[in-house]
Amino acid sequence: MRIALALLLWISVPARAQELPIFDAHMHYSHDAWDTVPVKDVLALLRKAGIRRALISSSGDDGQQRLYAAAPDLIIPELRPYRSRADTGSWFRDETVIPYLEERLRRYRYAGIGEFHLYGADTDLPVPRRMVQLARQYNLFLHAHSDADGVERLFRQWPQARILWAHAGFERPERVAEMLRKHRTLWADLAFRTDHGSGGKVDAAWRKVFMELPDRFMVGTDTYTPERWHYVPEHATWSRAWLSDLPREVAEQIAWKNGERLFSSSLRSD
Amino acid sequence: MEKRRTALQLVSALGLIAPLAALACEPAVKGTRVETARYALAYRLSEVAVSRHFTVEVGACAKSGPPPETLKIDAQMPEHRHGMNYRPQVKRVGSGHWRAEGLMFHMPGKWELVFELDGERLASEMVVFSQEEKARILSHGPWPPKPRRDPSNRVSGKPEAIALGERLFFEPRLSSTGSVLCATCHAPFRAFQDARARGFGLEEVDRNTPSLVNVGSYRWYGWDGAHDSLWAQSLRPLLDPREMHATPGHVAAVLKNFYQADYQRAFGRPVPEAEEALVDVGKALAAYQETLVSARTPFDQFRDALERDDAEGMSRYPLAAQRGLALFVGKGNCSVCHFGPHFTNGEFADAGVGFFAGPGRVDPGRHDGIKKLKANPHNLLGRFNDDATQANAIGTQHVELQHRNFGEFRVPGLRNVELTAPYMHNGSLATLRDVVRHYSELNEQRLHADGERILRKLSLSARESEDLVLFLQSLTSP
Repeated sequence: MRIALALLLWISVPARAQELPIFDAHMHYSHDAWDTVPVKDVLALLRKAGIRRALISSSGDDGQQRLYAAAPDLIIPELRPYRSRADTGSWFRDETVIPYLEERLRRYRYAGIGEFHLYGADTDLPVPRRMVQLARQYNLFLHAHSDADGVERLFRQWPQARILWAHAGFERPERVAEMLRKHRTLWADLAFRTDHGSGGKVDAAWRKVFMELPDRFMVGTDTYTPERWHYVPEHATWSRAWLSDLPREVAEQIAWKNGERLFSSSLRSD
Repeated sequence: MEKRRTALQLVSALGLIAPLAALACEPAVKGTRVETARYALAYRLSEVAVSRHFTVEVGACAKSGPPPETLKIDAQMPEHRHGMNYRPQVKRVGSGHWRAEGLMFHMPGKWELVFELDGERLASEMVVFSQEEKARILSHGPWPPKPRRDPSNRVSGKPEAIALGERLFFEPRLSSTGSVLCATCHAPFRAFQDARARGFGLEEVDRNTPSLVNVGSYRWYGWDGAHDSLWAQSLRPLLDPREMHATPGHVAAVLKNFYQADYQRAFGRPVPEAEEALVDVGKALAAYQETLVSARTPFDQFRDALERDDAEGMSRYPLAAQRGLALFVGKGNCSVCHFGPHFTNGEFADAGVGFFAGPGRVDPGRHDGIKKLKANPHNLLGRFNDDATQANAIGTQHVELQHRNFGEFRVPGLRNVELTAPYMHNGSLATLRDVVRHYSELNEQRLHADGERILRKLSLSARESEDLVLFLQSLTSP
């Protein structure tokens, strides 16, 4: 029995040591998850998955503040302009969002504002404009679930903005690359898409983009319902599989180094 | 304009239809009947399309008293609070016999034909389907489908195998305890399911027991589609420790001890060893289950009448069910996933139902199903597929694991759905009304912003909800 245990440890420890850390740039811990997946379970799932750090934006901020308080080494909070997910389709016309953001920004530290859903001309409405001003005032990233037009409009409002483009807008790799080339302070998260790395193999068109712009991508699980927290370990394994089809240095940048470089120091003054 | 042509469905408001036996006079026209205490009226419409003029032939007689002398006709859409844009001209063509021309339904939906016989009002409701709606409705048939042999199962359709499969279906000795049979969960008198929220063989499982009726025509099996043939699916509960907890060796022993002759007749060879015997039990069980096909339903009668433009035949389908059908293929978008004669696309979806299986435990649904399918030695890519071409394995070969599969479950067929409560993958909705309420009040927040666009909160009125339920109930075979 002891021999078997020793053998198991011998096999598993090096495997774990070689496991690629993951900086997960797209997570949510929203109101409906707080009871069903309590803080301790979230942290256990993150650690089980080998998540080095997680950029978390939530519909309702209280839960993620509890997460951050429990594991400041692991959690990087963003401020989402949603008090519940019901705000997703209406927040950009809802003026009460602004005092909510202002109050939260006064009380807590964040790495960014987002993830928000914002498309095309809605980007130039008064509420999103004020949100961009607040991001500028507090020197925060914008995490935009937007089409390319929305991203362009955000940059027009604030040319020096640093924007994390959620799901890279579900655009084709060529279009994503075009946007990244055009905007040097634009990064892309790959959450909730499988076209770039199915079955442990990287798609040829995406490979070209990753090789050209390895410092501009991050992975993300997108825990948009409580149940999906239990998908975090599976998603990390899946990410490692397709990342292993890239040169090690490129894989490491996308897996965690880009996120670490961009976000890990954002809350250090705390 | 072509697109907006309609099929016309006519049904008299139920309360106004009189039993034939009660008629005291016979109108001069055969067609849809409407009655009051004084008059009996029957009408027949010429072929009608939305935005095209049509004629109405009307016959009327008095049950007592003098025959009617004058007739006026109009039509209106009560929900839209408007009538037609045209005033029809009514010509008397004989005693108690008129022809009206110049009518036009300028939009699909619910219409009411209003007749005025010597000042007395008679009304007849109808649902006018657009050409697009008609095409959708017709796509749900014909029924029953032609019998189909499963090429992956060499004994599919073979009477001796069907007979063996039926005996095995009711054989408790196949379970390790000798106490559980297929029919424990798939009870014939409960539409081959168990009426429980979650199945219970030797223990309770995480999912609702699906009915086996019409199971022969599926592409994927199980709520998660972990199997690609009916015979492979039939092996799962045999081996599952929570259900029958058998082993291949145990199954082979049951065959050898009790079914030697039956097996020989079905498979043309002596009972083989464990793995081969297990698979053949699955194939015999599948051969039997393929025979479980539901009968025709009131909906099928209506659908075929619609195809024939048989207004008389269509009129036998309750108006409320027609309104529900209009919702099903229209506003509700139900037929996008529940399409075809089986009322399912055979694939998987996130219908906004939570999928925690217990505290700290989720049912990954299709995501896990694809992984199990790919790893299963009994899938159609394996050596047990009796179709040497493996042309039937194309889905198994190409199905791709995607993030959205996490928490997706099978889109179930809806034939006999009234008989298979409770509903959804975990039996969490007790009644059909609960299911309709689920979609009416759908929590869109559970769906990914870039996910399925079909599912939107329907916000049905009480009458619409009831109409949809009545339509679903009309999918029940007698």
